[in-house]
Amino acid sequence: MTDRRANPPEKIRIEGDRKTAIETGRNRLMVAGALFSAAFLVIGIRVVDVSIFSSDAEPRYSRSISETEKYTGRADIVDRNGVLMATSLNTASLYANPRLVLDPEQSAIKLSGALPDIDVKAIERKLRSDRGFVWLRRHLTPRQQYAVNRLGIPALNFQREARRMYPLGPLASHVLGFTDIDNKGLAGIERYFDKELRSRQENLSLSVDVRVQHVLEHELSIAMKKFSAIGAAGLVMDVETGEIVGMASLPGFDPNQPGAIDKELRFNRTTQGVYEMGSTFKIFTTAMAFDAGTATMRSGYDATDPIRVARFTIRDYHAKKRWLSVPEIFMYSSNIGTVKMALDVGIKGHRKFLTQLGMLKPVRVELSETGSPLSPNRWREINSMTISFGHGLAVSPLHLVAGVSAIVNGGIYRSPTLIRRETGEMVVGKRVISEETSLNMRRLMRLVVENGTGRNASAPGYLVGGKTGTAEKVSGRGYKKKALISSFVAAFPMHKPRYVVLAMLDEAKGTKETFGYATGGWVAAPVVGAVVRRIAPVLGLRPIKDENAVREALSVEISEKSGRGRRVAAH
Amino acid sequence: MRRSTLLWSVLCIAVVIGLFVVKHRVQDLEDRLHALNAEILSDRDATQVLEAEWSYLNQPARLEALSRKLLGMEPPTAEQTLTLDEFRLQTAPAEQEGTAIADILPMKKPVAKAAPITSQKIPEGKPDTDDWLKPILAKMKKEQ
Repeated sequence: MTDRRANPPEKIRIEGDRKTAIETGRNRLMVAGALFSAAFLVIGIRVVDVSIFSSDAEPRYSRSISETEKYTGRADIVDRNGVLMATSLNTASLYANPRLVLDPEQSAIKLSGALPDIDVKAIERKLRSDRGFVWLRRHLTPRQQYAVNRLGIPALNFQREARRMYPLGPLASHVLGFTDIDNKGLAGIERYFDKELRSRQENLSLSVDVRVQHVLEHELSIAMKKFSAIGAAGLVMDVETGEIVGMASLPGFDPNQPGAIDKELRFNRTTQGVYEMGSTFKIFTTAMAFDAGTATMRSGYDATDPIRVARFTIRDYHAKKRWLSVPEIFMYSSNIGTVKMALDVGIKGHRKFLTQLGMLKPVRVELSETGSPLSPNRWREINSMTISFGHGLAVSPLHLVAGVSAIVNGGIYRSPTLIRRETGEMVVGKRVISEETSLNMRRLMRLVVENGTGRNASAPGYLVGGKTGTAEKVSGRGYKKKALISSFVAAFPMHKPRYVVLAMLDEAKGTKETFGYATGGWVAAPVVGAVVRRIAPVLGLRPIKDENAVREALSVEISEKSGRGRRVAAH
Repeated sequence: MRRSTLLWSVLCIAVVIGLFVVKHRVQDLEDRLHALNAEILSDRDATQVLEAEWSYLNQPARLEALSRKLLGMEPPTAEQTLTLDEFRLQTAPAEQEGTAIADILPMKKPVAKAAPITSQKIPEGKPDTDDWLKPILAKMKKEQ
């Protein structure tokens, strides 16, 4: 060992065959090395490329979701206080690609295990079809989705879809309307604002207050049942802004089940239905006469004899058979007196006045379901006479409420709306009567509730004033005696009206408590009273404690023909 | 010569490791962002569902039935409505006479019933009950 270390290594020289063998080995090694380094170079370049320049090639999730981004596709609808009325929820829908289904029969049977209520034969037929896409079931619950996933059938897939939900159920169904399975608006607000609801992000605020809406629907449905009516309609409108706070049409429907809604249920009685309103129209006739100056609170007309025109006879329902002052004509709802009042104004003036109140055109509101009023083609004296007490001109309840709002709010007509106005927003309108006429009309309407046909509508503390209306329904060419439209339109509080309330019952029948009467004063007035008592606190109106002073201020002096006055409606 | 080689190779390795770590962290962050985005979406869905449920449970008809059945409540009449000022006016004479609230309890029932509210709601001057509500209300406004 030591020997070897001491000696320097000897140079070995290899020659001959061995030398050539080593040379070839070396060359091969060189080639292999070059190949490897070339490969590594390529890999290195690719690594640099992938890690530094690859941002175009491969999408990265470096984007965060924006604040307002929503995937539901349709904006929510809320009431005036922000209560959710309609929303879209994401659900999973099951679809299949039949070309990828291996065994349709087996798959269908398996599916029926996960979704017990499906039709196996129909599903099998769908799976056998030669298409690339079939819906099997829309809007599964999370539990059903899980069950289907567990089956592990490869051709089935889920599609995230938004489904329209109405958490309040049938409440305000005629206002909201509904959508079909593809979220297309088919009725109500959903239809009118279909495009806008699809494109906007923020909620749509309605003028409706769900609490008021509930009270209205509840009280109307009670009355409907009690008097076996076939339908009912109700409205609450803000007289200052024209906002509709409550709009009820009964019977209603559940918008969550669009399949079960037939055409009759969809009919909106408040806007689509046009009715001859009866005596409530005397509000307009009297206001017109006051404004034209042909009648005053002290003047009067002889209502002793019925009026005969052509083949008609106009009688009084509560006939007094004597001279009546204007307040008495209004209070006792005298047809004869009202006709004479209208004739004094004249046909032209009558027509112009009703046009100003929007009675001859479809009412402008954010619903596509609006009915056109039925008015006479040629306005003759007889038309003017019957229209003065609400026959021969059919309008929707919304027409009536909008008109009465204008009469009581100081004389300014504002078109009704279902969309919430900003607080403090002044709404422009057009003047139809003077403020003095408006005040006198309010006193007369108060008189009806104090002493007249509308006593059932009183609500202590809230000073309700209104007018009853009862009309026979038109059938064919005549009138049906037993089929009545009974209504009551009111405003409150009468010294400074804030809201107009209407209740209308379709074909109400009298009961024992109403002594068989089904007139507006017996069936609709109590509804208005109950509604006012319940909604006034909700709407932030305080009851008037010292009611008598205000009542005194609103009282009406009823003059007798002899000229002596007697003051009524003080207490 | 040897030293600089060593230095460079160490530097090289350090940069490589550094790059690797940074790249890895970016990837992690991106994964987290993705997960968070998905979570936000599902939370939004859940919020939507909860809001719908809240509205469903607050159906006025349901609330009315429940408060009638469980709390025995009825719609208030005009006499049952009172402003704070009117309430003060009604209770003021009793306090001035120096009678303790306990003395008038059995005699004047309406006053007695409302008495606990006085002690809560009318401390001297303006009640500062609103102060704690303010940030919450401001927040709600912003969110809207």
